[in-house]
Amino acid sequence: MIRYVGTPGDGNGPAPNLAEQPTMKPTTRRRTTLSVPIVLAALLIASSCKDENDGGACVDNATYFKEEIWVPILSQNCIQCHTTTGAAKDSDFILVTSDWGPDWLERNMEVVEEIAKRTYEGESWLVLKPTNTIEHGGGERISVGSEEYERFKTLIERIEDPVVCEDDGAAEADFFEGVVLLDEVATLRKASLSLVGRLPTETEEQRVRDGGFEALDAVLDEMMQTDAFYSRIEEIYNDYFLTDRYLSSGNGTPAIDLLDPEDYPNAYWFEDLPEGEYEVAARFANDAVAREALKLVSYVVKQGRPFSEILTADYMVVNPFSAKVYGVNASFEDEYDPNEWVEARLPGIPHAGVLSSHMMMNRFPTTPTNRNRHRSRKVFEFFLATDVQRLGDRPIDPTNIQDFNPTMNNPNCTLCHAIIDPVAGTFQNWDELGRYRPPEGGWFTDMRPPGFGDEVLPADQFDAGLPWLAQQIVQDPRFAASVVHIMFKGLSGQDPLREPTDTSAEDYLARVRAFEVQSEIFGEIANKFRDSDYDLRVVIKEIVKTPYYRAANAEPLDETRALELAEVGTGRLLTPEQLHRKIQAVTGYPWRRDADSDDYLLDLDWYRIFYGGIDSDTVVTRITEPNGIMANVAARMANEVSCWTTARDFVLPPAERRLFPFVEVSFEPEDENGFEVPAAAQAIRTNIQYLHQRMLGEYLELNDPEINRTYELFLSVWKDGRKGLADDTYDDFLPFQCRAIDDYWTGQELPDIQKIERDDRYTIRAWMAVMTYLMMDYRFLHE
Amino acid sequence: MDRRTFIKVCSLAGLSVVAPVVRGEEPLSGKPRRDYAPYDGLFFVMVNAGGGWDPTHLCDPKGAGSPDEVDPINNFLEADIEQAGNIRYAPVGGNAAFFQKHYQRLCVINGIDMKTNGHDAGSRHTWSGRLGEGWPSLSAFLAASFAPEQPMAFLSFGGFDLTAGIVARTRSGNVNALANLAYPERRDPNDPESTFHSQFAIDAISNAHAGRAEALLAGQNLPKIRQAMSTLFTARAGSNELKKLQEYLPENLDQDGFRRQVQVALAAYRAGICVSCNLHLGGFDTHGNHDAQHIPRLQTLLEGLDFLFDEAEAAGVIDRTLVVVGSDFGRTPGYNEQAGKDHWSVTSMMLAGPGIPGNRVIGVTDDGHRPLALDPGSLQPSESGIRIEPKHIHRALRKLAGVSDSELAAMFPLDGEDLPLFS
Repeated sequence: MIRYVGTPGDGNGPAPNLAEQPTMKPTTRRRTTLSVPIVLAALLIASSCKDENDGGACVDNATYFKEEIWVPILSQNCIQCHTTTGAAKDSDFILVTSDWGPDWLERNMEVVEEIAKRTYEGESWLVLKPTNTIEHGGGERISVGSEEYERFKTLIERIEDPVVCEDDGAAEADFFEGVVLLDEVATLRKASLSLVGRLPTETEEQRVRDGGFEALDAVLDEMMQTDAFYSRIEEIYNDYFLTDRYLSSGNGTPAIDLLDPEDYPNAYWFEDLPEGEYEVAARFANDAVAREALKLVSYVVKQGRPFSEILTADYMVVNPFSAKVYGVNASFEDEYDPNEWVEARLPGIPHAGVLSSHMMMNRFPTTPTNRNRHRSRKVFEFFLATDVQRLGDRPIDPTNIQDFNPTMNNPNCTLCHAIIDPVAGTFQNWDELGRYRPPEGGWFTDMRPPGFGDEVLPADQFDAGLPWLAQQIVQDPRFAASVVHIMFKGLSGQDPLREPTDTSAEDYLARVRAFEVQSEIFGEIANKFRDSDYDLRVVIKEIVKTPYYRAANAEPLDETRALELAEVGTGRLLTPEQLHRKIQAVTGYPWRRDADSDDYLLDLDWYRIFYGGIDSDTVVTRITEPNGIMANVAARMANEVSCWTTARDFVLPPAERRLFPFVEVSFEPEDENGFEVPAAAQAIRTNIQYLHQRMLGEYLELNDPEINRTYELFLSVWKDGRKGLADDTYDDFLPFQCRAIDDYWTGQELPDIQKIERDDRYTIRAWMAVMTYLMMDYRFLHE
Repeated sequence: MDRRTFIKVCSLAGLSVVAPVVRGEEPLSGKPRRDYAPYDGLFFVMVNAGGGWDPTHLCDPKGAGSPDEVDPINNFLEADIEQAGNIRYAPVGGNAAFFQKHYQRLCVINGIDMKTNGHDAGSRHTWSGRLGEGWPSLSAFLAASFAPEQPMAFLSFGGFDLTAGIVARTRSGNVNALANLAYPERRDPNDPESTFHSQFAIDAISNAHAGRAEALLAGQNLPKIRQAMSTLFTARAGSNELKKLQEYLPENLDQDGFRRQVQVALAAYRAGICVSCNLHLGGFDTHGNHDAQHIPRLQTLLEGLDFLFDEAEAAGVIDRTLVVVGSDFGRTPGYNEQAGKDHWSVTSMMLAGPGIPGNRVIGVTDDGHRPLALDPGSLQPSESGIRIEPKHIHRALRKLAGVSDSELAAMFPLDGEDLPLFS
């Protein structure tokens, strides 16, 4: 049995088996097997909705609204007309779907509460309207005394006297029943590789082994104070900002070329430097400008500021090289350190964190007719967890569009434009090139006025629309949700689930349940994020502990459970950047031919794109499932890295080796007569056990079938090699590239006594085969 | 162990070496999938004009009544519209050269009701046949239907390329590095003797991988992880075929990006490792200065299509190459204040290839580029008829490809009428 989810007590002892792994606590809550998708009402009502008065579980107002009102009534009987484009578009009762954003249910509840509080002769509109007791354009939708009617009445009572419950986590526990999770130490390994690109130290592992998840939080907190972590945050956010397009090494226009020389006359200050210095300074300066927005994000985290400051910061960050480009006054401890970042302000520019970044403005440009709508859309996508374009998914009819100004007047267009146009107006002072150029004639009058939601930008703040917008955004609950979503995608590789809309789909109920549970969990994380005054590390620590990050296996699943858990699991194919870091973390060496050459997995001219990576320019989405070419990249990596590192590791003293601390090249598993050499065979097995742990995160006993499989591989290759050496089929010299003759980092030739050029026992090549085997493994390529 | 043996071992072990679908992992049966020989069936080429093209400047021409017309739909005159065979085209850019040369192979479908003017939704609707989310792109669907085990079964250069987990998507990078990848077991890709390991060791590693794959899958119950494992094992099983691509790639690739896409895709198909591809050309979202920007872009697209047809003909595969050209949606009839055109939810598609009747135009729009309903039998305008939507075209293409009754088609159904588009 492969036991990989848990870790043994001492690192080498027996590992716990699957059955001993922590699973979510089973509950008695029922799981529906309904197959007719009469929306999720049946599912949710059957599974959870009991009023506290019935002696069942407590049901708070939000849950009651969602399960008893929204699902069975509003989403079925009302929303056809009561939308911005429906027959009741001119009424005060406008509902939205999940396309609105993560707070769509809250918004709907507010609308319903508003109507519920309106009365006529002591009776609420919420029952008067749909029963057509007072005029209702849709006529009688429900009858007095019906089940729906009674639910509305109950809701009205609840609005007057809200029910608040303490969350006992039962729904979550029920959903993940039977799921096998990584334990604390295995979670630490995964998080460490993901966040800081290294394996945990023995001390860190022991602390977590002793202290559980509390200790895990503490260790992660320490890891999240390192430069590697800040780089990782930048990497995650670049998948959204895509400003690495402007790096010197990228394919796009260099960042400095995007700056207007009139605004920044000293942009090319480095041109006066002597040859040799010029190139380095130019690169440092350009890349600092290119990464301005990303560096602000990591700077805010590094300084321990509320993460909301990525939008509200009234400054930008510069290093010594970009400070000269912008011509701003900033003081540095080391004028030559490209990694020293300080705050700076451009005179006359109302800074608003990354919103007012030159690079963001250029990466997401506008045109005279687009009028910043593209920028607005990105604001909603990045910072409000809302894909405005999904609002355009609903069918529209071109024959209905006759209006003079459809984005203002036609319901087919107003749905999206009512949302994005006000925000677009807050960008009015920045032109197509990202320059601060307030429009001389004011903002367009044929657009909705600048603002955010129902708030209108005050006239006296027109010069500072973006700082005003930033304040609006960070007060919106969707901001916290957006951070949770982005971090979840960055850490897990998975998109947050979207609420299914196809009620006729076979898996509709299962997907609804999966969505509901994930939304609940993410909502809790967002709440903790807000409660921590927007500490990004809190979001990361909470995500790491969720079942989404730790689910490694499950008890056998029936069809319904398989559908529900379809998106749960730790099967993320590592990105090129992550695999690059993992190779170095495990072997001690990066995958590049020598210290000064290109990293194969990071370089655009080598394998970065082939391995599913992005160039932030034309290729902006990652491939998350391996294909034939990616399999070959992995094969070449495994072959080359095993060749370059195996002999080299044996050069080191055993205590310093990363790969072969338990064996020597002289350790042969059998003697000349074919009898096992017990001590050598035991050492080889122990080293294989060690490699499984180090490279794959598997904690196996020495007699585990997987240890046997790897040992058999070693043994068979060694035997064949010995035979080949004996009959001169094989050379006793290693292939040239696989020899250890110099120091990798310095290129300095090793003393002759340390060099390993020959392999006359064939053990090095047998270990190379083991290394190749393990580095091509699923668990090496996935986390 | 060679790949064929590996497949056999996996099969005997009850493993799915084909990337399983999201909603279950049972291998799909009854599909016209070839059995791991080089793929030599139809080659499906989807060409995406990213950003929303303007059919009225192409194959559904609408001209101004006179030079003095106020707010004309387009700046060319209705009287100047030209025709190649049955196909009318706008008198701009490279249209004449293209349509006069290729009209006999082209089927034009006008007046397609996209029901959206959002980029993502439009692109998804055009290429998956469904406005909602979750259905795979046509390229992915066809690749999964015919030969998902091929290493470049679905080659994508952009556009809507969702796979829905039914086939791996391949993206081309710097083709100069392909030699190293085609021969990952060699230190020098040009030297067959320069392997990192002995042949015995290579086989032993492969055998160990196969055994471990079986063990890992047998012990795993979470669908997502099973799928990830299965996808990797499938990808690995097909990776050897990559070397064939080397044989068909031109020594010097074209400098033009779109033509280079054509060259790589055709080479992959001729190598027997590719079933379908997404070719992509962006730059059609011309909200400002429409004519000056859009017409040259259309010309680049048509020149690229011409290149595709010529190259396929020269390679002797034109009779097996089915081309579908489409975009997110159309552009508004008439110009905005910046002489640009905004989004419009009516568009056209062009198709060519085996089974596609050439010199044919289906669908009608009025002077304001609004779609007319068609009788579903005769495809002639009828007030009681229906509008053509992407789903109709996808249904017809599935039928043409012989996969309309497959399990994959049942898994991703497209409701709607069967229109005689290609009969």
